[in-house]
Amino acid sequence: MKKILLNKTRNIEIILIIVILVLFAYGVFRTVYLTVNSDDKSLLIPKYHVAFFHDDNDRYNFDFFKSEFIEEGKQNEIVADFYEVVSSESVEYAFKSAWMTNVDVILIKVSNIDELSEYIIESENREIKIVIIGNDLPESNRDTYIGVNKYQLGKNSIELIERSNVENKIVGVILGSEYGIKTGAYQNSYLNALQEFSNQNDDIWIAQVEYSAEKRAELIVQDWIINNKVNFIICTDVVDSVRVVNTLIDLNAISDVSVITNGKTDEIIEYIQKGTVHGSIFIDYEKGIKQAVKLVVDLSNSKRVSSYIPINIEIIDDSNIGEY
Amino acid sequence: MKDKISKIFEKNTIRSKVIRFVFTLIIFFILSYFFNQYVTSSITKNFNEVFIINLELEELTKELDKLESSLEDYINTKDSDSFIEYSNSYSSIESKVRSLDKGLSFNISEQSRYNITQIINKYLETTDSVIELKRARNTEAYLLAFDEVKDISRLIKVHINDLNEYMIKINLEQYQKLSEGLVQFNSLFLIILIIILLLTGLFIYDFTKNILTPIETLSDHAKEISNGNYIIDSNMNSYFKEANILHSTFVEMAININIYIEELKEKSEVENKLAQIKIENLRVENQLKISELKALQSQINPHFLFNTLNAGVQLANLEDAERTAEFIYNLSRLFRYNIQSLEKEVSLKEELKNVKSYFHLMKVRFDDLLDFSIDIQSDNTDKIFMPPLILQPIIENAIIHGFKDKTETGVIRILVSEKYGEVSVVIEDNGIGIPENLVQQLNDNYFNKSESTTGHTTGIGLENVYSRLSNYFNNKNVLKIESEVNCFTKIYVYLGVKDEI
Repeated sequence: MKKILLNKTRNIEIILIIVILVLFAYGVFRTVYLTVNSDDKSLLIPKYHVAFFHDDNDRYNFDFFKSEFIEEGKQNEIVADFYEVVSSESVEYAFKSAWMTNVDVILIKVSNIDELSEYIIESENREIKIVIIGNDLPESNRDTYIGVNKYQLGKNSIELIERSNVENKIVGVILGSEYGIKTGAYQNSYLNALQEFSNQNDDIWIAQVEYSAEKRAELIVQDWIINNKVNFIICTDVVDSVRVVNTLIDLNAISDVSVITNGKTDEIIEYIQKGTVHGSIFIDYEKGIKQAVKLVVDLSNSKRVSSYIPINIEIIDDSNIGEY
Repeated sequence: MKDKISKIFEKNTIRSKVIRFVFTLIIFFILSYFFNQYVTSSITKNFNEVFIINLELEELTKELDKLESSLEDYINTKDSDSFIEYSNSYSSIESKVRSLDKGLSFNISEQSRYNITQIINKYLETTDSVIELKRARNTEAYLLAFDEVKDISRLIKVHINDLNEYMIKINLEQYQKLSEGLVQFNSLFLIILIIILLLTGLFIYDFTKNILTPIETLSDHAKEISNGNYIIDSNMNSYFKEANILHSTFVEMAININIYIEELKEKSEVENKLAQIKIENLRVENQLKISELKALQSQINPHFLFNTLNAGVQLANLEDAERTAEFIYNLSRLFRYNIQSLEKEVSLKEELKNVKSYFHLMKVRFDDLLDFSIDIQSDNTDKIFMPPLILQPIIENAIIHGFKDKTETGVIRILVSEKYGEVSVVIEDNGIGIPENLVQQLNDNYFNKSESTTGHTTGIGLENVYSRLSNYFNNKNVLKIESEVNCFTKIYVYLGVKDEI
C-alpha cells in the first residue's frame, strides 16, 4: 500500500493536474454552465406554434402535463405559449394574443368559462384549429376533443370498490375542482356511472357527494367520520386525495375508512403499498400528451383527425402495485 | 536545444521533477485566472443581455405610446406634424421590432419577444388602417379601428410586462443559482487549495526524501569507508537518476579502492615473506659458517702444542741447536697464527709472514724438492687487510696436489702486486696443473669440499678460502684460477678495499 502510495506520489504533478482540471471543469459546469445556460438556448427552430390555455384546476396533473408537453413538443418542433385562463378577461387576452401571434393550434384545458365557445368559434373563423382537453365543449365546434371518458371513470371506481372486502360499502364522493357546479354533462356522466353501477350492487351505496371547490376536503372528511356517514371515500383530485388520507390519519380512522384516490404520485403509491389507500384511478396523461402533440402536427398540416380521442384510465391497487 | 527540451521531460530526474511540478502550479494559477474571467464575463454577458432587452422593451413601450398619441392627434386634427411624428414613431417601432424578432424559439424569452413582435405588427397594420379610414373619412370605422389599436396596445403592454417579469424572475433565479453556485465553487476552490497544499506537502516530503536519503546513505558509506570498511551496500533504489548515478559511482569507487588496498596488502605480505626468508637464510648461513669455523678450530689443539713448541725452542737454544730452534720457532709461529680466530682481521704482511714460516718448515721437510720465492711489489702490505689463513691453504693445495706425482723440484712463487689501489696475490706453481673443466668449475665457485680439504694443515679448503674472502670483501670476484695440465697453476687472490655493508 505504502509502495503504491509512494509510486503515486512520484507522479504527484500528474495527479495534481488531473485533480485541478477535473475540479475546475466541475466547478465551471456547476457554477456557470448550469446557471447561465439554464434557459433553453436550443438551436432547434420550432415549426409549429400553439397556444395552450389552462385554468388553475387540477394543478398537479397540469404541471406534469405542461412539462411533458413542452418536452414532447420539442421532439416534434412544436413551441407552445401557455396562458392561464381563469376569467372572462383572461379568456379575451389569451385568445387575442393567440390570434395575433398567429398560432396554428389552440389547446384548451379549461372548465367553467362560459365565453370559451364564442372565442372558439371566432378562432375557427380565423382558421385556427382548436383542441379541447379534459372537459369537452361539443357545442363550440372544436376540431377535436382529447379527454377521459368520465362514464368509464365512474364505472372503474365502482369496480375498484367492489374488490374490497368491506361489507355495506357506504360511499362518499369528493369531487375535485374540475367538477364544478356548471360542468353539467361532464360531471353527470361520472356521477351517473357511479349511481348506475352502484345500483347494480346491493352492497354499495353512494351516500354523499361533495365538492372540494366549495368546501375543503379535510372538513368534508372530518364531518363524515365524526358523524359516521361513510366507510368508503372516492377522491377525484390528487391534492384532495392526499389531504383526505392525512385527515384520516389525524382522526385515527384509517382502518375504518377505505379510500380510492386519483393520481400516481409517490405519496399515493406509498399509501397503496402500506394499505392506507385501497386503490387509485388515474388518467394516463403521458399517452394523452403524445396524442395531443400528434394532433397538433396533424391539424397544422390540415390532416383529418378524429373528433374524440380518449385518454386511457389506469387503476392501481394491491394487485398491481409492483408495476409502479 | 532539442536535447535541452528532452532533458526537461526526461523521467526521474530532479530537473524534470521540479519543472513539472512548477508547471502544474502555473497551470493551476492560469486556470484560476481564466475561470475567474469566464465566470465574470458569463455573468456580465447574461445580465447585460437582460438589461439590454429590458431597455429595448421600455423604449418600445414609450415609442408605442408616442405613436398612439400622434395617431390620436392626427385623427383629431389631421395635423401634418402629428403624421410626421406618427411616421417617425412607426419607423422606429419597425426597426425595434426587427431587432427584437428572432422568430419562433424554444427559448421562452425569445418566444415571448417573437409574440410581442407579431402583435406589434398587427398593431401597426391596425394603425395604418386607422390612417386610411381617416383619410377615407369613414368616421365610424376609424374610431372602431382606433379602439382596436388601443386594445392591441394594452395587449402588447401586458405581454411586455409579462416578459419583463419573466426575465426579472429568471434573472433573479439565475442570480440566486449563481450565488449558490459561487458559494459551492468557493467551497470547491477551498477543497482544491487544500488538495494542492496536501499534495504539495506530499511532493516536498517525497522530493526531499528522494534527495536526502541518497545523500544520507552516501554520508553513511563515506563514514564506513573512513573506518576502513570498503564493502558497502550497492542496493539503493532512488527515484532520481542523479542519485542512482552518484551512488553507483561511489560504490564503484569504493570497490576500486578496496581492490587496490587488497593488492597492496598482498604485495606487502609477499615482500615480508621474502624478507623473512632472506633473514632466515642469512641466519642459517651465518650459523653454518660459525659452526664450520668452530668445527675447524676444534680440529687443532693449539695451546698445548704452542706451549710445548715454545719449550722446544728454549731447549734447542740451550743446546745450541740453532736450526732446530729456528724450525720449532717457525712451527710455533705457524701454530700461533693458525689458532687465531678465523673471524679476525689480519694484514697482508702478517699473512705473508705466516706463509714464509710455512715455507721454512716445508723447506726443512722437503729440502731441494721444493723451491719457494716471494716477490712483493707493494709497499702497502701492512695496510691491506684480509681474513687470516687465506694464502697457506692455497700453497698447501699446490704441495699436496700439484707436486704429488712430481719428481723434479716443485717451484712455488708468490707475487704481490698493486694496481690502481687493488692488490693481487698470485700463487704460481709448476705442478701437474688442473684439468680445464675443473678450472672452469672452480672459477664458477663450485668446490668439492671433501677433496679440497684433504691433507690440509689448517683443514681449510679452497671453498672456505673463497667463502671467507668473498664475505669479507662482499665481492664474488676474489679468486681466479689459471692452469695448464703438467705445466702450471696460477691462483690469483684479489684483495680489494673492503666494502662496508
